Amino acid sequence: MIDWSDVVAPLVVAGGGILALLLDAFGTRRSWRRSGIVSFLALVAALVVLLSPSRPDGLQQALGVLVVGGTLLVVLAAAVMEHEDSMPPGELHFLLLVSASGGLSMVLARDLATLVVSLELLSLPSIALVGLRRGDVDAARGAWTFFVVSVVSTAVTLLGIAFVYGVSGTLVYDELALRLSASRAPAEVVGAAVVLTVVGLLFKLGAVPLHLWVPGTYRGASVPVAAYLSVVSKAGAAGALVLLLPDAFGLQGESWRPVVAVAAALTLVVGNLGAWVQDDVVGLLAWSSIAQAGFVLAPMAVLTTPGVASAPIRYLAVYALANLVAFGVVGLVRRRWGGTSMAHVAGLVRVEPWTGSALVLALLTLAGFPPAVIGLVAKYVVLEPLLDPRFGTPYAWLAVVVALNVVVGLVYYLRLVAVVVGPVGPRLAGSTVSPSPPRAVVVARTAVLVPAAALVVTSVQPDLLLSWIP
Amino acid sequence: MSAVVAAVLLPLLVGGGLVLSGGRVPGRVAALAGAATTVVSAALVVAAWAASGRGEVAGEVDAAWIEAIGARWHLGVDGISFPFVLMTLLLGLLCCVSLVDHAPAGDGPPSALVGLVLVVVGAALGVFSSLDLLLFFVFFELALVPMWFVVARWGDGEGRSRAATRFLVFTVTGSALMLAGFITVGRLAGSLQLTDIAVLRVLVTGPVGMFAAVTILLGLAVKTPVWPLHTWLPDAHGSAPTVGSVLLAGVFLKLGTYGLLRVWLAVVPQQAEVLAPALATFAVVGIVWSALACLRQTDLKRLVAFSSVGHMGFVVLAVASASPLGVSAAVLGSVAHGVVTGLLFFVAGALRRRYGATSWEALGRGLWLRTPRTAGVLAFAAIASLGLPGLAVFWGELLTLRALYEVGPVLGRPLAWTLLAVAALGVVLTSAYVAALLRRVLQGVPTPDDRDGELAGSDVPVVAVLVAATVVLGVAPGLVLGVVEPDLLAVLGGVR
Amino acid sequence: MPLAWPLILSAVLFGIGVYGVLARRHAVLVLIGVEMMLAAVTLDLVAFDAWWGEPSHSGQVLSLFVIALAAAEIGLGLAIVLALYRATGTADVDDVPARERR
Repeated sequence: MIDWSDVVAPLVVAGGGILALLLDAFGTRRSWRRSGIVSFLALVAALVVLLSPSRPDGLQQALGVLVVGGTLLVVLAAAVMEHEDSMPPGELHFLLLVSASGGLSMVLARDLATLVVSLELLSLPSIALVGLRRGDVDAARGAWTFFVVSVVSTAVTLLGIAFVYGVSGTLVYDELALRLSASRAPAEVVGAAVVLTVVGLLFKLGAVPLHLWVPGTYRGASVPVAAYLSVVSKAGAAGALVLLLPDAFGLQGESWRPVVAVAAALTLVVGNLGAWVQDDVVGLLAWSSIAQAGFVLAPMAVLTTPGVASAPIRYLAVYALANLVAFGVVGLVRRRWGGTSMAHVAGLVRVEPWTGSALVLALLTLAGFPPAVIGLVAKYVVLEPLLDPRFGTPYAWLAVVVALNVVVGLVYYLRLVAVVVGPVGPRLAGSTVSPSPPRAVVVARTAVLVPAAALVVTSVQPDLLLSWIP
Repeated sequence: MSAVVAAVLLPLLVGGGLVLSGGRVPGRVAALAGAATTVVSAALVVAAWAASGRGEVAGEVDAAWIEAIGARWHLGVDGISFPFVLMTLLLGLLCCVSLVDHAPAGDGPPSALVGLVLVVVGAALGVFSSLDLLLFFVFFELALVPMWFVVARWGDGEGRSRAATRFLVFTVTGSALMLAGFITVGRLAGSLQLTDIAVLRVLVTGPVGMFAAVTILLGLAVKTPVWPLHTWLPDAHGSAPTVGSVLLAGVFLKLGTYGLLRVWLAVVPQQAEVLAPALATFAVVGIVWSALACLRQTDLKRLVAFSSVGHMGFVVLAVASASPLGVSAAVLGSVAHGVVTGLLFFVAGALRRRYGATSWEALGRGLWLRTPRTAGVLAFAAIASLGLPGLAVFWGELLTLRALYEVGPVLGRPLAWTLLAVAALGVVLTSAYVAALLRRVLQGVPTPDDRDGELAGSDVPVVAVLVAATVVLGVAPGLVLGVVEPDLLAVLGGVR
Repeated sequence: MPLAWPLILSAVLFGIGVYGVLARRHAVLVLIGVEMMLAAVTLDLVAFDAWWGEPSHSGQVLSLFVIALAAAEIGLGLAIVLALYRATGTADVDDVPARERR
């Protein structure tokens, strides 16, 4: 028997994507508006479905809203690419929505088969999205790197799942927990199977040592697609981990907890060091998004403890808002001034006070510093489970690593903030190079200002966000 | 809304508005508006204080804020924080007044500098009046980024950006560790309210409690700063513009000393007992070390900066004694240091404007004869700084030494008396460098300079107020001690 | 037939696949390496399914999915290779990932 209430939201999103593609294909003239409006409506409909009060699991609901809402903002921000010849609108919207439906089913999955299929549904269209820009070498190279790492890590995950199935005889989360611990196979084999299974999800999250695809891919992709990868794709992977680790592998904690803890620490350090040396804004955001994945991953090391599951999701929600703002602003800048180097954002606050201030706020949120209180609260939320004395704090060292990485992050984010609020550079003083239609700029700016306003409101009253994620 | 909350938010809002106005407000108007803001804030706090009884929290507000993690919007002013609040507002007012005539050149409009100063003042007020650990931390961090901009944008010299970033990295590293400590305390005690933890203080125990105590101490020790974590301080103070130096020394360092009293001694008293001997030793080393470093300085601003390490050493020593006398001495010493060092930095800033630098070469010799009134103020401030009886700093240091002599509950007699002897040596060395300063700059054959001139413009009222405050605190330390004493239990309730 | 035989064959296949992905320069050979890894997984799944013999046959179902996924991956991979070839004139990918590492 099929419980339709679970699948209707992903189906709405995927159907919207297909409709957008068909409308674009059969239209007489290429139009950004037609497929854009269809995608927008489909995502709004999915949000309504997700927010209907009948849904039982608050965590899955929050994750679903995160995925769909993030895609919605990406679709709006992508409007800035209207009239960019190398970017076909129908394909873009189709791939975005199909991939989002994969992300959505990933966080709704309750068995490993669904997980794998939705993981691929999330990955393959997003690889295509990266390579979508016609005739662009960087895009093709980025897509190839992304593709190879993606399929290899998927293969490893599948191997892990095959072994999990081999030792337990089931693929359903709720049965796995008991069957795995009752298995007659040696504990090492079970542990190895569990760890291999997690690899593919760590890859999607961009965790070290599976992070090397991130910077090249983000830079090869168009900026809204990079935003999508950094937010929705990560949300899907993190959501799947949050559900999978405690529900299916809860009793195998000894095997994966150290792996997750070490991966989190390495991800933080490597991501921050990489971001430290960047002189391109997209490069900086790409590396910093690796480090941010470390913050999401850190509390998962103690995920077997009840009540911890909300910590990574809360962090992810704040990160998603801030990162969408940052990438949205950079997308506007790239389209209007033709580049994403530090020089292209020098003095942005004075040229474009609203979007510039939104960028500053987003960077401070990512850094976790007042006045962006919500960013600080997010850091508090991920540190809290690591320091809970009820469980003897075996991962207090990880908490210290997390705390010290907040410092490193602050330095490079603040360096960028100083550039953005500094004197106007020659790039911005010049006129815009490829003016998108004013309507498209207004839509894209809305996609920046709405989440920025959400950051302001939640900075004053963080409970609005926190209490919504159980 | 309580008067205390209004007093905290007003400078933040006005300051934020001035920063965002992007230079549309003329500098003088902004500075006057800033001065008015601090006066209104001060009036609000004093009104709330007058309306409450002694030994209770004035203008207390305790409202729901972030229920998900147990943080509350909990603010109020008691006898420990009231002197800090007033000193902050006084220095904030004087900074704004000084900016009316003497706004430094920098990469930004003068109104933005006034705005940043107000944000720093508002954040410091927030720290001094927070009764919730997370709120304390939010305000603690809120002051950092504006301060970074003040030093990096309006500072002097080549290395200002480097100095600003070093200051930021040091203090943020400390406070990131402190956040870990706060979270641990919050989990152990089941509450983030300072008022609750004061009741439940026995719950913070075991190795986890020690982890919390050490991380919080590290964070505050960087801020205060305690030797050997002070290395960010001389460069930052030396490179900052005058108002930046005043705020750094007068307000920023006090966030550290206030934190040591409020969120260390009061929150983890059992661990504080264990850590106090080490802390006191570091403090004493800092006193002697800073005096020796001062003897070698050839620049007035850097000398004042290094001397701050010594003064803070006395305050930390007082905190480490964990006795009622020590706590009073710590509050008094902090306030006195804010006033006297503020005075020294304002005078140094005036000299710097005139001569372009504050090194001995730039200042020349014989200031007594060239500009007698400026020289007199400098001499007065320098002598006050060495702790002359009858002036502000004296009482803080004397009470600290006496707290050591009387042997508090924590430090044993041999250790306490050894520390006493070394600290006394530090006082002697302090007189040596002050004497060297006076001889080098004020005396000697005058080297007249075209740029010679007395203090002028808004420097005059600023200096006058600070001189008066130095004398008043020196003559009547009871003004502060009387405020502190009824609330000593808020800090010391848990120490045997 | 003992369970070990298909497992050994699958391990060999997976190993050859990993070698192909890591060591081959030509994009098409990399893709073939990926295919071999997925084939190894399919073999594992079918073997475990036969061994457990559970009524819902989850292993066989998943192996069907894996075959479909493999086809989709190859389709996408070849499309990217084509785009890369058009843009650079070569399908030699040895330096592609390395250059993106910055």
